[in-house]
Amino acid sequence: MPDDNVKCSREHCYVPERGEPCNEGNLDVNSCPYFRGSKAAKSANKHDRDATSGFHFPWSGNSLGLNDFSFISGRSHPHIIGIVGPHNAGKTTLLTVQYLLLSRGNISSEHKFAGSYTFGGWENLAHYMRWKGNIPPTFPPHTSSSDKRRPGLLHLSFRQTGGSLLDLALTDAPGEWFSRWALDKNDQEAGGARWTACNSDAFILIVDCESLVGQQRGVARESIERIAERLNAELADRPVAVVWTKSDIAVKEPVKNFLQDRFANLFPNHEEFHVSVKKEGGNNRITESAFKELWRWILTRKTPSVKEFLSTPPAGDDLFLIYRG
Amino acid sequence: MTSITDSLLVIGVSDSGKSHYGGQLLIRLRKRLGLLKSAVAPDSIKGFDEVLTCLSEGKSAPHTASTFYGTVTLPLVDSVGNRIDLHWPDYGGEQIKNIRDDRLMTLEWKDRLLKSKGWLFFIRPNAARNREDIILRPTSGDDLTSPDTSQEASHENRVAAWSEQAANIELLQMLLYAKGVGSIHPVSTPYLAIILSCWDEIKLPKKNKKHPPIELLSETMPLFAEFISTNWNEDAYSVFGVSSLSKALSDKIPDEEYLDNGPQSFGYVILPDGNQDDDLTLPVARILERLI
Repeated sequence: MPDDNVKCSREHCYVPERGEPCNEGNLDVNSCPYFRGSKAAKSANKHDRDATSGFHFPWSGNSLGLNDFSFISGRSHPHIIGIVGPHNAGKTTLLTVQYLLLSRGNISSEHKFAGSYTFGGWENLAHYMRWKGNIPPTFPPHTSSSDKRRPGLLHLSFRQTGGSLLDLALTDAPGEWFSRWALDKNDQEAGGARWTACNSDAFILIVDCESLVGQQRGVARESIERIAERLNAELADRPVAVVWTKSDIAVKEPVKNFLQDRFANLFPNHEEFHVSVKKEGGNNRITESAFKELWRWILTRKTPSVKEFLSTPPAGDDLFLIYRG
Repeated sequence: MTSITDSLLVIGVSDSGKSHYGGQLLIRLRKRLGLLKSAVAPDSIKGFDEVLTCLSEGKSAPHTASTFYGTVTLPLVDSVGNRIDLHWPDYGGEQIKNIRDDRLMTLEWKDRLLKSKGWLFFIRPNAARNREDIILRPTSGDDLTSPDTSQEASHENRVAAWSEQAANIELLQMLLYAKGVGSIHPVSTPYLAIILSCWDEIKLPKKNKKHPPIELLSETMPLFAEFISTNWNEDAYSVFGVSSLSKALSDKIPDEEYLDNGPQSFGYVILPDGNQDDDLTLPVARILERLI
């Protein structure tokens, strides 16, 4: 039973039960005067309320929550790219490298960067893969989520040739969700995977080359095939890209051919990419052109014509932002 | 007479060069050394007293107090004789940083934003270079490792770890939103003048060659440059380089050349086309042309 003494008093703000960001934009919910049980609420008097009053922004900068999504869907149909794959396959590293490449500017001649409402989420990942003085980069941490019903959504906006805006949301989800979902699509712990399958406009299926070598390659092959089959069952003509991560690791031909044949059968029009962040000539380099080609694929997927996505009313009372025409 | 009350907003974090530029601008205006000239002496220049005193002593000015926000009203006359009242602010750059980091804007700042039609956005390029990542500077030796997450970063540290270009894009997004500027169409108002400050400290590849400031901005903050060009109409923004002081000054030891020649003999602007001009009023004049 949720504790009414530890929740937000504002309507349409769902912290902390659903892992949603604070509707007032507080990164730390304990500093929000509307969050019952918070220090800010307990010590709130007129002076304290004045100190926290002012103009708040309707996005937190972290991964998009449902209310954040309302804010963006008021101006365009957000295009969701579902990134699917088992644990440790490289989903989060893929997102991070794509962002680092984007940060260098001019990722596409036909899609010009117009902004992001999740810079906090992106920069938190990028921080790991940057040098800190002489301290070298690391991989970003594995994704975890307190909200099993929905993945984190990282937002980017582009202006296309012709002037229209393209809002992209890329999912960042724990791989365990997809393994459970592949085994049983109604698994209680796989709500986030179901959400991804239901709401994504296109998918990136991650195939981890490292898992396909060694004694466990049979199990890994089975796991990937299972996820691919589940994805195929939910696909309904949506486009798929298959991304082989850690591609510097050589996978035996029979294993690779089996999976490639399977993908050709399940996803007839899919594209393949082979990416790597690994040692080459003594340095850890990325396969830059392959990552850029993947950007081309992401940016050129067709946007949805109609999407009924939100079943809850948008937060806020700005009539302009409610319009989704 | 045209009154541009509160129409000009100066935006910049601490140490971005706002105060030195403001001080040198006042000196140029009072001595009628630029395209914009002071029509009569301002009623009060109290808000800039410390900056002007330091510059006349040949020293750099201290940081503006974090909670201070003051304006000087400058009665100006432009090149065709129009009288304009310009309200030039000085404030602690922490106020901008607080908007960005705490995601909270005071109602006073929101009010200034609502009234503003031109923004001078100060960036110090040497402080804003992109941090090296695994693409720019590959690692060597052992494979990449997993991170040590045993010590979770505090909120302050996580925010501080943002790249400068991400922080500046987020700030502009917040300012546009607070001002009520829509995102669907490119922006025409407010006019945006990006000021790349402390130009003298930048190591440029070839001296005696023109360096349009937009090229330096694209090199140091490419995503930010792309964000500007994507979201603003082409004729609604400019990128200037500015060296308010022409050289670094000590806060303790007076510069002899400043003592001999006065601060008005120093400082220059790099125009959008890369040409250099001594008239520090030009970036402001450019905005005012649009506002009148």
